[in-house]
Amino acid sequence: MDPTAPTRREVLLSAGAAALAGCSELGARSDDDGAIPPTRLPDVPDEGDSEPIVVDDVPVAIERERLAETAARAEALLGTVPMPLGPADVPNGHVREELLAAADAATDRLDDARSAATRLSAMRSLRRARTEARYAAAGWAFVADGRTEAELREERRAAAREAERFRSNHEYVGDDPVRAVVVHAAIEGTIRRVVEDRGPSTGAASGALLRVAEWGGHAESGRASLDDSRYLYDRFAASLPDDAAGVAPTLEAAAESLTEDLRDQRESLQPEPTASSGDPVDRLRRRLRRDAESHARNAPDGPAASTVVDATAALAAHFAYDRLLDRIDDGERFRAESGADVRERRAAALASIRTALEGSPSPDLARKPLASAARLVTYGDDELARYRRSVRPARLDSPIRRYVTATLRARSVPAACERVLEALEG
Amino acid sequence: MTAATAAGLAGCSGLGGERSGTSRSVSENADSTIPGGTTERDPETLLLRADTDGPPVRVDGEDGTPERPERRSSRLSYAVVDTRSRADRLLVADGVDADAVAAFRSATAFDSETLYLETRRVAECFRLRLCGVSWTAEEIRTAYARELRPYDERCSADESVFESRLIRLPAALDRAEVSSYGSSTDGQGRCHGDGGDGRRDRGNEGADGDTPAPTPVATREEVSE
Repeated sequence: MDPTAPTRREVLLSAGAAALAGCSELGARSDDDGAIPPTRLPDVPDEGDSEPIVVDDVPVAIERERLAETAARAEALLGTVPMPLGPADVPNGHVREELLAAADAATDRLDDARSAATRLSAMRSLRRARTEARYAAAGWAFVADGRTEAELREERRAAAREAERFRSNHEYVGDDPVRAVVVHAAIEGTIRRVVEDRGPSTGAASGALLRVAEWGGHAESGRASLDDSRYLYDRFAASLPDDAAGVAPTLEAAAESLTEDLRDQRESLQPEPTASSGDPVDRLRRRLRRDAESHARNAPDGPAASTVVDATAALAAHFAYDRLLDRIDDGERFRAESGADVRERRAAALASIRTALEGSPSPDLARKPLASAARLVTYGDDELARYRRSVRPARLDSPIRRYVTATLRARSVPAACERVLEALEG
Repeated sequence: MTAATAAGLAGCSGLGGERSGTSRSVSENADSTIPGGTTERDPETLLLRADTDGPPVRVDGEDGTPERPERRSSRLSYAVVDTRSRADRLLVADGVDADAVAAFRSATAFDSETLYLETRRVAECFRLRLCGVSWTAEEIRTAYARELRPYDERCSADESVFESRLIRLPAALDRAEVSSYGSSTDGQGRCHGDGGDGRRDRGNEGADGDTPAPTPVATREEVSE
């Protein structure tokens, strides 16, 4: 984005001032085709700046010191690259820019980690910081120390082998099955990235140095995921009383019973309507149905803890679809007629997410699907942020759809948690 | 220079191949094959790469721009050189190796061979590799792979240069008969038949499992006249 371009807010502020002066083209022109002026739309942050109001977390006390150590690792990697990297260091300008971009991205991720809303999201930002920093460091090490792709491929393979061992030794330790299932699912998800090794996207086009950089980032990412998985596991295990019996049978039984529920729900879905139109009702129905179907299909693919946690989102998606059908029956059209409609939809989404987190029988379980609903709101915000002129209502179908989907999902989360808790209680 | 501006606007998108104002399709690898045509993977070629204002080589009297200027293309110009007299009209820009052009031209037997001249614009830190050329009496297609130049060759990420190629086709084509031209570029640096080694999805470390949209690996442009 052009940093000198006025932000949307600046444009709107000046439009507002101009409207007061009675000379605005942007201002309050909503007469002719029902176009909605941007000043009537919700006051969203600039594109890309909208932050989700709920982010994922894990019920493990991740230590500040541990995050600081990871940040130090990323900083140490960045410290190996001579800055500012100039043409004397890396003569090819494209290659140099790639390394500098990775170093910048690493710094951005370090900043993200510092301002993260939860320790888990800080941990994830730091993993990415390590990955980007290592990309830059490995690229430079190719020049300075003759680092080879083969060494880095081997480093990644070693991480994958260790991850495989870690996974086969993974025991479902715990006492409280709800807390345990959330922690174990987070670990399963993290370790899966290392075991299911797909390699970086290097091509013949990228040349030897950038291939080494890619493999450096890939090796680091594998190592970081493994480190974090171990840390979460050990930290969780250390928090348990000595007589904690383990929760494996509970998780496995719950996974089995929820898998059955999801199968039934998939079978009960009405067939997808064949006719398709651009009508917002049709689109919402189609998308939420697909959502419900794919969540239900994919949730049982993982190991037990992941199945249980993913079933929460799958059930919420299913209930959200039911809620949608009810609202369609009530005659709702899901098309904004005024700026106030959009503001109300957005406010409803945010309020539903907050309420669901507070009102859920298990905030630990609720957090992940709510974080995903909160992300939907930010996508809608980004779409709205692009409008600097009056906009026809049909153009707002997409942000409306995101806000409505977020609302329906959020409101469905407590009931989904309820069902998962029942399954965990046997 | 109209021609240079057109190519500059067409530019290259950096990530995956080059844009064309004509038609655009995505293929597995850069492939020039015309069904029923003759294909050469390694034709005799003279490459002239230069940081000049216009094409390093062009036919005198033709500015090299495709006839309809709205068809802006990274392929700046193409010309069929089917006679010695036309070959004598090849103009070489200042600073380009004119002797090499003269030698290549005089080594061409126009009763059984044709020169195909194609000029493309490429980011300075990259180079094009000709994957092959395919032709019939009416049509010529080329395919390229775009490769990054070695890290220790100095270049600017913001500049672009011209690559003109004289390709000697072992066939006597009639310029008046050739009505269709096509060219594709593989942004991943692979030619059709290079082997399918590891183009993989990017390892996805995103916390949310959001998958980025795939990058088109090759673009193709075609012009019929």
